[in-house]
Amino acid sequence: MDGKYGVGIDIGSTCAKTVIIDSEGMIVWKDLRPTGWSSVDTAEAIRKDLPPEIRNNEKTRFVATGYGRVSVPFADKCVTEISCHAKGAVKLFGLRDLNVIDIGGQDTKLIVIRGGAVTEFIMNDKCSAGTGRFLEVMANTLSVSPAAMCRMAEQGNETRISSLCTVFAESEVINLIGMGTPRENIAWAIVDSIVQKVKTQAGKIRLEKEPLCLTGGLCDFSYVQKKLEIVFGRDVLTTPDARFAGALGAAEYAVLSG
Amino acid sequence: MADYVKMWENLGMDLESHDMLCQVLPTAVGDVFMTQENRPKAMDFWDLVISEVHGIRPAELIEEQKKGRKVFGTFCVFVPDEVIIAADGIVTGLCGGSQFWVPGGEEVLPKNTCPLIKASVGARLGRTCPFFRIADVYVGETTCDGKKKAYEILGQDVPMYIMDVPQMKRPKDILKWKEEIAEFAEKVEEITGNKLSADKLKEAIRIVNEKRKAMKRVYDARKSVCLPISGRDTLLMTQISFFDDPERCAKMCNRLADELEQRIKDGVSVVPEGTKRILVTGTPLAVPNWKLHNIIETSGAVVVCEEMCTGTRYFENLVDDSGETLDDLYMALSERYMKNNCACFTPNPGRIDDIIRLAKEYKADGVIDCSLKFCGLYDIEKKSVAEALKAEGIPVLSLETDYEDSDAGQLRTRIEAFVEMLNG
Amino acid sequence: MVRYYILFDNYEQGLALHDLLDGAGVSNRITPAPAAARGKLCCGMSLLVEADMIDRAREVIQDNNAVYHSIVPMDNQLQAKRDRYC
Repeated sequence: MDGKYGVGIDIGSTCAKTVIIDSEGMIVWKDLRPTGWSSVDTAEAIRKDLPPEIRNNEKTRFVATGYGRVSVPFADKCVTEISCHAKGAVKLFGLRDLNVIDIGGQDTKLIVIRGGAVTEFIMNDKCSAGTGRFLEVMANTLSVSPAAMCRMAEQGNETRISSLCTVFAESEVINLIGMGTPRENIAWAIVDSIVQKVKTQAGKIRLEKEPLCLTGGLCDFSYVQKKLEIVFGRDVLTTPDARFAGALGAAEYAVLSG
Repeated sequence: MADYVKMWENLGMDLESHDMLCQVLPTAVGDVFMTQENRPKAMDFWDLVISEVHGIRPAELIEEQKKGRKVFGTFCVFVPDEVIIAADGIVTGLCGGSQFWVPGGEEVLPKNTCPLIKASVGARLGRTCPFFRIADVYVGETTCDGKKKAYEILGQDVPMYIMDVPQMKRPKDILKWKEEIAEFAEKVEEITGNKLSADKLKEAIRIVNEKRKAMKRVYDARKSVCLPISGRDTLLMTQISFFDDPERCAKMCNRLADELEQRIKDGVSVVPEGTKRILVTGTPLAVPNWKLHNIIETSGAVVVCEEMCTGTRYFENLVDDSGETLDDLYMALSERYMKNNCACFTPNPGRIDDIIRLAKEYKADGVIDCSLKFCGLYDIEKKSVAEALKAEGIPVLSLETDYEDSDAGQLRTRIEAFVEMLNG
Repeated sequence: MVRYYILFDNYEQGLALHDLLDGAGVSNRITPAPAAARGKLCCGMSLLVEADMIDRAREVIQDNNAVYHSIVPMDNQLQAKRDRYC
């Protein structure tokens, strides 16, 4: 071990994730915090909180990723979240051939990885339908946390909301509330609309038979994973560290950089 | 500073509003073009034209109108310039590439209309583009539903002539387009007051063919591994070619091509060796729409070819000028124009063949298929384009955008990720 | 970074100086005059000269009695990734 560290900072729209690995690729430190309103301030705060022996080590390299990647002033390099998520997922799941479904705060990504390299990817459209943001907005409308809403959905019965646009879907949800529809059913409809949207996106990309792996902020919600398995008709893998996939990939890029 | 205010006033333009447009142009031109190192010297012509885009050429057109010549404004590469030129008319493209005009278009069109149409209508109704004011007549065509209906709205404000472009490419469709051209020729004779003859049309065909050949020379230089010009610069050249006098355009393109060919001999490239080469395909990039090219070329890649109307579709295929009668020549025109593989045709396998052929000729590492928002034709065709390219082993990124700046970050992420993927 | 914009009353003057500067090997580029530098209601060209060339440009102007409107230094005008289009 040559005492070199790679720091990967993934500034997402909702959360900032940081992972530090050593030159052997072992995770030695990780951090998760809200991005807040200023990516630059968040990045600076993260730097201050890094273990001093790593922060002050001249061999330490920093790679920033995520939508706020350009707002990390001390980054040696910026790499897109597509490449970082792919690299991180290969490591987390121990697979060279896989498909990543990343449901993030602002966008949803599907990444096809073959032989350890990205061969295709797709990101959702400009709107927030089918993303973590959508889940958050809807949970708000139901006055519960996203986690509570997912648990609620598990108890619900089949109900549909037709619109895939967050703004219109919200008024549909309000309409359902007005009609006295049980909250569990509304929650069911909301999660269903997200996974259906992901499934639709997947039609534009060649996932083939390789495993589906879920990363991003929604991987903690086992119900989302379960629903994805239902719509895709096969297993969807995830791990507790899956929301760090982007930061882990960035840390690997950092170790690899000169 | 050049004082065109009087001219704009006489054209009935909204000066205050137009000044807002003039405020934003210098920033965009500076950021997109002046940040580049080692540009070809011959680009100074296009730098001048874009710097004075609402001045020099409009003033020329007005001078010609004073001599009795008529200006025809067109929106599409299907309208045969040759017929207009043969009758001593002048062709000008009509702009529609700026977000500035979109809100004006949205006042009369549904929001979910493509930005090119909204901008074109907005430019006319907002009275902020001299070219839209100068044109004596607009020549529209039926290449999409949005345009067809928008022309009805424009037609309330300006004389409008519509050419009915076939939707298929059977022999009878080529005959039908020939008939359309013949009918259009009669209209052009009526508007200009000049009778067409086979000789005049042959001369016009020669003029436009020379322009096509000159543009092709510039594009051919981009096939070189040693890349002598950026995509941004070539795009500007192509965009301006829709507005310029065809003979001057040919002269300037040839001058540029001379320099590019010399650069290749001297080993002068605008990008480091190994920079990923991108072929861009899809909907047109009307001036001053430079967003896609700028993002690609500031994300570590370079654009080597545009398979689009503001690209190869504008100059590929020459018109056969060997016919002896007007009828023969109209047929030759129809045959050439009907080789254009616009997504308005069904089926449209020719476009896919073109993309694959061009990707190979220009040694593209990847293809970016980008359509304007709400262009159903090109959006739907993306699927078959992507499948065909994947079958050829050519990586492809499909995108959709409009004229707004707000999605630039999202485009950057996708394009940077695509380049990272190509770099492996 | 400070760059200099030479402004003109009309483009003929600008082109004349452009040719003179090119002839003297002083690199300069034609670009629209920045909005902040030019008068109201005008759209027009300027010559963009980098800081290390401006003294030589002034010499060429003097030696040839070239006509121009003004020379305006401007900071930080060019940003490739600003993503402000028109």
